[in-house]
Amino acid sequence: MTAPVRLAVHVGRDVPEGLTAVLAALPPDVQPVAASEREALPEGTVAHLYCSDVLPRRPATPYAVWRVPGADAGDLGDVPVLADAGAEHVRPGDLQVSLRAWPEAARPILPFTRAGLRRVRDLPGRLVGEARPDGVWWGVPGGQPAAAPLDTWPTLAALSSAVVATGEELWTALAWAAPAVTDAAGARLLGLTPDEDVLVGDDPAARSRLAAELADDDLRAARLARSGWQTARSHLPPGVAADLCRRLGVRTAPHSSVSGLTAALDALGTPPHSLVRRRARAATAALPGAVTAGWRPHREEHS
Amino acid sequence: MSTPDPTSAEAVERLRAVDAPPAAPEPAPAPRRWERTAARVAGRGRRAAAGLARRGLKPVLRRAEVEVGSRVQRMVTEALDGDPALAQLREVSERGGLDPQLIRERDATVHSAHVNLELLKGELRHVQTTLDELGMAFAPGTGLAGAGARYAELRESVYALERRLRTAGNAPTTPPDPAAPAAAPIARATPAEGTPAVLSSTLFDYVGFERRFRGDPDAILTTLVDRYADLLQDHQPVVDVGCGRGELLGMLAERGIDVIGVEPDPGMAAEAQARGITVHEELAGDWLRSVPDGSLGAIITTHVLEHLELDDMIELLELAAVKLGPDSVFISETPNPASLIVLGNSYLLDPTHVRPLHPSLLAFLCEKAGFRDVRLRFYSPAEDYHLPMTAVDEDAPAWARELTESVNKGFSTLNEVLFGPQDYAVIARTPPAPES
Repeated sequence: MTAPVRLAVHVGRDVPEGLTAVLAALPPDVQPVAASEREALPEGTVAHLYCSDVLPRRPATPYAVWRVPGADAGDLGDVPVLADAGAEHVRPGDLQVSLRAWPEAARPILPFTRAGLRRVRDLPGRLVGEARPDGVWWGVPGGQPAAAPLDTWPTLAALSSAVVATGEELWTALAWAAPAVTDAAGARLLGLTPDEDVLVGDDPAARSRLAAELADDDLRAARLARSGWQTARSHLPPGVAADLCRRLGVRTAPHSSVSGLTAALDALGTPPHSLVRRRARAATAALPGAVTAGWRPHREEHS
Repeated sequence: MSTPDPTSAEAVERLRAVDAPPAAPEPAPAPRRWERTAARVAGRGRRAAAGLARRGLKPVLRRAEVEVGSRVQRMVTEALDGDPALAQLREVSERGGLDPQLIRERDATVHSAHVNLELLKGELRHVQTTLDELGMAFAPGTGLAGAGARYAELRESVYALERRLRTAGNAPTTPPDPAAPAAAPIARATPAEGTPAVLSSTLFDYVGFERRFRGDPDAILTTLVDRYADLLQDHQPVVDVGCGRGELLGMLAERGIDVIGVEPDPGMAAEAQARGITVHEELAGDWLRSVPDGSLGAIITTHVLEHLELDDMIELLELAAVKLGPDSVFISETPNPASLIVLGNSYLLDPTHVRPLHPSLLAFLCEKAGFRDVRLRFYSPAEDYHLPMTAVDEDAPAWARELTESVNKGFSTLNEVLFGPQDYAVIARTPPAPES
């Protein structure tokens, strides 16, 4: 067993809102320690995390910076930068920390599965859900939508071919891996890339039209859903902590993944043509007719 | 959320339940009398029609229910059959997952598999231990990092052994070198007598030694060519005394220079000849005596003279001065013992070195041998060891500047004495031809 590696955290007057959550989500063998320029670093320190208002002239490397609102850290180049989601200064590639709660029991539902669930539930083959300020609506693409109770939004997020949402409802939709259309402010607030993670429409009519188009384009919907789900997940503290470790070069012991039969067989060193591999391939094979053959939102997996 | 699973049928029913109310919120205007009557009649008509339809359509619905039901059942069965996970589950079930006897057999099989796995692990550990031991055996002293270099040394040793064997086998029957000029008589009947140990030693592996300590041969060769090729180009033919495998001559020949090699070691001479170079397999003094006076353009020796006894060296220099033509060059590169880092390290390292040749001594010997215009060139100062010079600002006190200056002067002297040029070459010329 090796001693845990330490991440020196230099905190100034203002503690970033998401700091505690990220530190709590660090891998178990990475130990965050409070550090000061005036004190000796604890043994085993391999990297530093500075809040921007205490960034020294010559920071110890490798380091990352938490961009505190109102403080100017200057041009940081390739240095990993963290920021609370929705902060004003966010560059592409910054690690955005979202403190939104991930909807309980939310799981990514693939477009093919959505279609199957709609069929079983006797819902329309193509379905668009909309979360507007005046309530939740649902209907076929291009048709007249009908009202639904507010608490059925997760149902629509899970079953719709495409959804239109802003704010927290968009977060819920992404948690269920719904292909989503939103406004520019919503995309910026959640750190989503337009046309990659979500589609962005300027006005309600444009958003409805985009959602209708998306509902008819299975391939594009699948790509958007995967990307949006991944981006939303990457803003959660565990994702941010893992990415921070990776970009700081903090190596931790690999944790064997209990999910993913293929990964487990890889970890066991199972020969490629063995019987158990064939069985696993058969068990994880793509369902017939699936547009998104074999993908899972968080991992590329090909049979 | 109020529903445990938003995808459940109950959740969808809640969704659908609100579908109706918005559909019929049309505010109806106050109905008139005749409209109310018409509505009553229409309502009775609809009820009567519905009753008739129920009675008439009941058998039809029943038939349809049976048909649709069987079709749905078939679809569900097909879907289940198509699911590989369920197929596997069914297969396990069919194999008697609940049968106590089969359970016992399965447990026994699992147990034996575990035992086999542990045995395999044990064997693997044994193999790993063996490999570790082998690795330790392969890495004596220097470790595996130097394995490549050691392999190269061993290969050179094998080549050297092969050369010795070849020499030993051919020695009694080797005819005189046909390339050697037959006109000049061999002055010494036994040239090996009195020659330095390096040329006659059969115990010391000089090739391996050189391979390990002298540095990258290609880099050395390139350096030599850069230093002397232009000068030698103007003075042909060029004789390399102690040419070894003829690398330098090979590169000079590629530049179109007429070259001749002299190498007493038969194996090395053979390798040099394989490059297409004229090589004489004999001692330098013997060969030089055999060539006409004034017939050579240049003679070069690199790291040879320090291996010779004083008399042999003087004789070589005198012969060279005679055999070189007018205004020809003699070049001899040797370690510079005036640099103490050389004397204390690389010079002492080589046990075949006979004596250090101070630059002034070699220059003196060249002049005494008959050369004119003897010049010394120094190469490769040991800059890695140099003591650093210090610097002070111009506005520093005078005493600080003086102190810095004297320190730098001392350091400079020390650098020159301790870590000066590691090699030097004497470049001597023969007198020009007398004007007719």
